[in-house]
Amino acid sequence: MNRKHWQDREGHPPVDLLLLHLEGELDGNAPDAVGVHVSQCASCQASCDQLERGISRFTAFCDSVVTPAPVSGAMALRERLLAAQVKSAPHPVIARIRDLFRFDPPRRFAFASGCASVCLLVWLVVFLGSPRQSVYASQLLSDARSASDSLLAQSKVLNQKVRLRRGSLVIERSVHHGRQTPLQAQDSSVDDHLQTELDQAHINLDDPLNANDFAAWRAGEREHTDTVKETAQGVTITTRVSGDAITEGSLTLSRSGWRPIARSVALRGEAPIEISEVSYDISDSAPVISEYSTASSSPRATTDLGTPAAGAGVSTSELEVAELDLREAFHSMGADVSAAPRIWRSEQTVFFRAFPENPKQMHAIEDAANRIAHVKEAGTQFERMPNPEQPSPSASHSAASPLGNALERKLGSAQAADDFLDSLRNRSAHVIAEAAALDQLGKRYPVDAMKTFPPDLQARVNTLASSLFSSLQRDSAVYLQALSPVLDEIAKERDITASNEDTGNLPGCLHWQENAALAAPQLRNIAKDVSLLSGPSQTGKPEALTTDQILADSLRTRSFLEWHLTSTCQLFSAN
Amino acid sequence: MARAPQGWNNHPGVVLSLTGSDQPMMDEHLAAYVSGLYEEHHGSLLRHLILSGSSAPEAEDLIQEGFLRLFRHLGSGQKVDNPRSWLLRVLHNLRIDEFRKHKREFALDRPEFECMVAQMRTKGPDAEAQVIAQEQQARVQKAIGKLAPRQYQYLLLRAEGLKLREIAEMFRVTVQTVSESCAKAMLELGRLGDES
Repeated sequence: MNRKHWQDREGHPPVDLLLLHLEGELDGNAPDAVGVHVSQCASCQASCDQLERGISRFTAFCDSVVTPAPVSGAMALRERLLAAQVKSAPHPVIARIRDLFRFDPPRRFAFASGCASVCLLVWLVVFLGSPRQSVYASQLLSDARSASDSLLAQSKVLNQKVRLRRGSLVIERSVHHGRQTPLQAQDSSVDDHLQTELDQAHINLDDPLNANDFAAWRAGEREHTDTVKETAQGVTITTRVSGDAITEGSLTLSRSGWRPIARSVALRGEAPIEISEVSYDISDSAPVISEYSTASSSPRATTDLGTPAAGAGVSTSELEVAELDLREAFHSMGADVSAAPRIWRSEQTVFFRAFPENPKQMHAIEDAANRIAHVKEAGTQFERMPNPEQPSPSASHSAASPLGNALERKLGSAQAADDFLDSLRNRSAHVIAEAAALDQLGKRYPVDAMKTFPPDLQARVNTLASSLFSSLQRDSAVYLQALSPVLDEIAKERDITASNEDTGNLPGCLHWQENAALAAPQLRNIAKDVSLLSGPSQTGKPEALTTDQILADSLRTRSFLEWHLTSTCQLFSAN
Repeated sequence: MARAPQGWNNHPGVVLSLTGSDQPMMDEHLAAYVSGLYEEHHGSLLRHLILSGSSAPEAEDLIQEGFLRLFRHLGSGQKVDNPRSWLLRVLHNLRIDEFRKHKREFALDRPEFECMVAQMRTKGPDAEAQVIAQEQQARVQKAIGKLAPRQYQYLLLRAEGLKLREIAEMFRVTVQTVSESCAKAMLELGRLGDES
């Protein structure tokens, strides 16, 4: 961007050039000209300040929007991606044919001689295509089940309004997956004949879009052929059968989340039964513990689905114990911090996913999980994944930065300052991981939910939390002891004092769950501040804070953190 | 930051191997990579779409569709330098399609949006600070509500870290147009404190 002659016309650069100057997006000779002018012009500096305030207010407004938790997690997405790839990836035979058609010089002969075999290959594709579609259909139904379980595990309720249409007959129902659907009035318009057909198609009027019912019907048909088609609405599985009454059934899953959104049944010589979703929303439900016992209103299919049938007799309390066993196992090997495990439950299984540090830890986790009943590792295989709480690669500090400058003076060399900052980063990453693990435990076992637990489980959760909290207190103290002297020194030089008034307004104490929830972001804030104080100057960026502001924020956050680490009410007594 | 598999998307050989015998392994790696990006960016993309006028379920659908497109895009051997910018562009187009389909326009003062806007963050349960922050937030929200839809979209994308040049390319306008529009809006918001 280079607007010439602005000086001649108005004497000041127009505001859009000032913004481009602040954003560092001016090109040509403009950066120098605008920069020189702004540095000498109080009016333009004031405009720049106003622009910076504007964008930081807008950013703060955006940050204040709290987003709901994801409906389906990354694992569900991953399964969906793989399923999509299975469908979209060309069959190896087709890929080979495509290669032949590329007419690369070395392949001309192959193309010419292969023409005759193309027909045979096409026939093979057709021949093999049918079982492939069937496998894909089964996979889709399994995904639908997993998505439903995933919602339940997050204590979410899927509320659907569905419409059943058969000729001129229209029936509407409200269905709540994850909560017992209230008994609905018997519809007098459903005569015995229709009821028989619904029963044959495994359609429960109280939940007519249940994927498990469709799977059960499909599995019950000995001879069936599947086709899977992707439409604008979603993915439709159509199953043709050779029955006397029903000739075809189809189920459509939404393109995201694998939610069943439509189902149809084609009947020999009669109008089809069509069921479709009218509207849906997802709401929070009561705690998981109370939901599991009343999760599904219709029987689970016993085949085609990836997990064992429901009603197999796994009680909520057994799952609770299994989950706690798993959490204790992770804690005993330190993996609850270092491997950042994610643990969640379906109706009959405790799932987990971890980020092991090394193969040894990976095997230890697998061994421990194998010893606990009802526990299953999510996904098909363990693989090395980046731990979200791992520190980022170290970088040299900026000698011109306040922290870099102070450290070089204190430690005598730039190398020593870099080493110190590296060690600080590692400590910071470790305590953040500890706080995140404790926070996760607190969110899984909130104060109110703990009250409903049997005393022995309460004691086990408290012991686990106590151990994690002690480690967090100890390691945070070491981290702050290393950081504080240099932070205080810079603050003293700049005449910034830590105010104790802020923590004075806090209550006497908080539950460990609340303290854990606050300590984790505070530790992240401090790490971010340290990074800002040791990095290159941020001046010029609209959202940049001054060094004094960052320092004041660090000192304030440190006061709060120290308070939260030492002010836990009724320390780990049974709630 | 989700790390791409070693050499992923930079090496033509990797792309070619997608059609070979290594396909399941590469699919698995690519899916893991895209899932990692999903974990990393889901929250901010969801917030962006909600702020852009989508409801939470709509936004979830769009995000899933966006990541599926990214997966297919990368799977077909094409390169994406900055997945986040790429996703923002795709989501922007998907959202416009969605709005056109339902003949809907974005309004900042719709009730469900009000519910989603949380209280301004404050450190510590200081009631007075919270009241002040809420008042300030209400002023900011009112001022944002008066912005032209285009201005608002530019600012949203700018707040997501896109450069003005990238925003201009996305909307097929000149950088000067975006810069002027953003600057006016920023000045309006920046002046809020002076008026009170």
